[in-house]
Amino acid sequence: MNFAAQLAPLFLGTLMAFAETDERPAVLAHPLDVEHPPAAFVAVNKSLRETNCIRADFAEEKKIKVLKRPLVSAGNLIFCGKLGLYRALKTPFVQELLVRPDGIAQRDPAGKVEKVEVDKQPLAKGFIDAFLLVFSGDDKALGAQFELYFDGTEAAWSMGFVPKRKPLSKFIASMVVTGKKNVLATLEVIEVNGDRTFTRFENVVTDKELSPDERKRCFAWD
Amino acid sequence: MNGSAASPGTEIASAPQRDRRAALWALCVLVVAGWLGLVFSRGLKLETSVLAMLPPSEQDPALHELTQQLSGRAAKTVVVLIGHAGREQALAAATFAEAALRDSQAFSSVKGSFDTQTERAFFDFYFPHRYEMLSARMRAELEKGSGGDELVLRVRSLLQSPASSLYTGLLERDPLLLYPDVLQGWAATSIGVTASDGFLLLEKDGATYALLSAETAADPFDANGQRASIDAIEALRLTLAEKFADSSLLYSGVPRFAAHTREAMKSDIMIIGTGSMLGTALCILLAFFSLRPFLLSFLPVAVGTATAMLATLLIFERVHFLTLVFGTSLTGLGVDYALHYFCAHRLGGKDWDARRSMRAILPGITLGVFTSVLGFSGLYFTPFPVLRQFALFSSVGLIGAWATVVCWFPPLLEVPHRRSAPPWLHGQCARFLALWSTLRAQRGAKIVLAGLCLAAFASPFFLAFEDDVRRFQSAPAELLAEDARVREIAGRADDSRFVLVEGASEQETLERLENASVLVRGAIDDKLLDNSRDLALFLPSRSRQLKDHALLAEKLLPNFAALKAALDDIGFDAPVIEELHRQLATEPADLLDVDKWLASPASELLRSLWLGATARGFGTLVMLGGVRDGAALEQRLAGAPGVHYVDRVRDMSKLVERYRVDSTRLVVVAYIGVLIALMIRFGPRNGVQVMLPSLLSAGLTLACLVASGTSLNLFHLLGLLLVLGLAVDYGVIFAEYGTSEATALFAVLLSVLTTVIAFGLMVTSSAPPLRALGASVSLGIVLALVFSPLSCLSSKSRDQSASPT
Repeated sequence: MNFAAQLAPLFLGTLMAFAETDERPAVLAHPLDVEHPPAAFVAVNKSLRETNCIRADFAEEKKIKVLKRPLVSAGNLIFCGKLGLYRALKTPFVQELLVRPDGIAQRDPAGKVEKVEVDKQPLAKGFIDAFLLVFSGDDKALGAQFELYFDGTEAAWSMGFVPKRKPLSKFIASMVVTGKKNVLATLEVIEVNGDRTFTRFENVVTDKELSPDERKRCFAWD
Repeated sequence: MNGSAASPGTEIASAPQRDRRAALWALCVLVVAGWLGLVFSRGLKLETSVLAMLPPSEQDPALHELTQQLSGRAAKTVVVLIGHAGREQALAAATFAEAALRDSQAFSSVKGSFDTQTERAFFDFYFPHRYEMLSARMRAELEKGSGGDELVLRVRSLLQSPASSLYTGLLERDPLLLYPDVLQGWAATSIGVTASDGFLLLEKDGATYALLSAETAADPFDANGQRASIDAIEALRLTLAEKFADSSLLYSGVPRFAAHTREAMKSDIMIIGTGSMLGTALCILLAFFSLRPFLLSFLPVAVGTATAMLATLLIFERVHFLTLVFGTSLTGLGVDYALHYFCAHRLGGKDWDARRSMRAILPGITLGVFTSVLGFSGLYFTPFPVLRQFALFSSVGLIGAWATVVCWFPPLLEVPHRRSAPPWLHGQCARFLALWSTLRAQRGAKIVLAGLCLAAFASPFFLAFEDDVRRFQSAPAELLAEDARVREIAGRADDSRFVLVEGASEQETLERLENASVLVRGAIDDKLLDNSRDLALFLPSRSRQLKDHALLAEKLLPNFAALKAALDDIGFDAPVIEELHRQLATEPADLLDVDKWLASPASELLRSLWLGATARGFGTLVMLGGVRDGAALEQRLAGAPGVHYVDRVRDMSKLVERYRVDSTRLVVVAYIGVLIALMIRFGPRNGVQVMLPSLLSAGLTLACLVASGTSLNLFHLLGLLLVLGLAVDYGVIFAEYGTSEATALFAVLLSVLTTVIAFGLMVTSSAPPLRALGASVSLGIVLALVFSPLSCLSSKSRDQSASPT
């Protein structure tokens, strides 16, 4: 057996600071009974499930405690169910990111692809799975991985996710997604160490199928 | 012969002398029994490994020491996989299993979940060295010309990625995020193992397996062995099936195979021991219709076995299980000498004189024990521990049996047999001999005999050999299948194939390892093997550390102002950047080295790869998994100094082949030696005649094996050595026997029956070497019996041999 793999992902976890509980998102005051979810929650997830493809522009602000100022970035993304998430960063630098259930890959402007196969990176896999899950509308799987919170109506909702399991729970304190029907509005990730990432989605398109060209360009890098 | 020349006066005087001899031997036997009891009470050390029956790698003491160390460790390790389609259930079952195995007390250590202390130890140990140990990829990038810009971009994209949480905790102390890169470098060499919740998890065919590794508490050589450990795991298998539906448990390891071998051999000993004991007793009862010989026949067997056991235990540190199984067949051999005496007794009638008869058969059985021991002693001088044990066991056993017959039987069998008419079997023997003498006169029979001789002498040219040592081990298919499955899932390294890296100093060894590691990794890329494990990434040499640090400094320091601006742009505080500069500009004072590494808990899991001081300096290992083309790998490593590819199975097989060739010569030499001895004793022509049955039976045994499509191995040939020892006996007895030829045949027949019972039963053994031995000996002995009348010398030539010159 190989010992390298068992060791690599572990230590980073050891370094994490304890949770800092400033500014707890409001939705976390509304826990959800998985056995008897409100109709709005069911409806929102249903419409998310039924959406094949979500396209959006995004603007992201990442506040990392040890850095003096937030990291700001923007670009566009396509979330496409089983194919995964394609994200094209435009600023502050150009880079494409493809998150698929089997791994993360980055492509620089020169076309050079760098892959991280997640079977060797369990933490990264935990992140990917969670990330893809949050947009999937798969309420059963969500209930297994997270404590769920819900507030609002189908027309304007916010959902909260608190990871139940390690390793994700060691890093992520909570995630909050807001939206209107099947249109995402914001995503906020709050980390255990107090870092926060706030993403705003704009120009969300949910009714356009993936073109063959997009499928190749965005989701087939091999 | 002396007996007939002895005067009645000396005979009377010798009676008390013989009783003294019996008493003296009784004393010896008592001492042996007491001593054996003492040895037994201290506990037996038994060996089951197939490799242990083979000679040590003689050409290289360092390698020998190493393989001992490796197999010693492997002999205690069991790998257990707990699987379930659901990851959570797999983890729950594994947690339960770990506790259950710990509680069983059958293991000295159970490694499953990893505590946070180990994690912390790793970080504490390696993090301070992040500027001196670059990942292979990072080093290559920098050497290709990457610099500050590329490193900063890498940091930026890591921070922008959805998994940035993994890195932010390090940023302040490691703004270039070099440490995560080292970790990723380690993970990149892995084989698909992931760690979660402290367990090592493996995904295979839709199921998740947690890996536990345990060391048995019992000494692997203990006679009772590691049964307790195996039982504990089997019990766990049942409990898991109950508590965690659809969970599976797979395990493997040397202890499991050893436990199986132990049990198989114990049942072999039971079957062969009981079978040959009963068979022999039955033969005696049928042949003599008398209780006394029946009871007496156990004496030489018991004494012979006890003496042999003691000698073997005293001379060899650990007795191989095969020796014990083989030893049980001694019953058939040890009883031989008794049989001759019983025959004389049975046929002696009312005029039976126990002492005179002993004198009559003494030369025959003495020459018999002499030739047998001669045959076995050939084995003693081979380097095969197990063969030496066989040889010693058999030789001492036969001498013990012989002495028992010679010293004890005359006083114990003074009463004449109540029947005087020859037994039924004796009559059959006479008819058989009559048949032979008719045949001898017939032309057709002579042609057939000539044809058989031709077949016998031609057979050596058609032999096919099998030297693969793995064929010497047999295990049930389900055990092998589970082992293969465990290896497939866990990617376990092969214990028999590895790369040994040596150097005059620790640093030279590590430098050579870095070189070897690159070569092996290249071979992995080219699919020559699946994976490897070594210390190159965990224990870089000092020169590698200095070079890595210098490379970083060379690429980053000249343009540090730009790097500083870029880092400032990301948002790093000035002190963080200053500290980075200080780290790069200062020559590292405190490098990683072997002593520090060994002293740290961070080395715990990999420590076994460092061999420390060896016969030639220092050594370390590269363990290999899934080797597909060992020859090509060996060729790639051939030029690297201090790097040796070791394939123990191949080396052992080569060694077996060499000894097989050697023992072929030994067989030839032994047959020639015995022939010369017989020619001296009986004269040239008669010597050949006495030898003829042995030669014919050996040759025809080979012919039969060839015809049945059997691939011969070392043990078939050794069987032929035994056939020589026994068949010559029969010939000699025929030639020497003072009484009728039918009586000689009668004795030979009984001895053949008892021997064939023992060796024939050996064919049922679970151990392929014993099966080979059993087949060639029982076949050879039956043939030797059939042809033994060929040794009958005409009365004229017997007279000649009695008074040579």
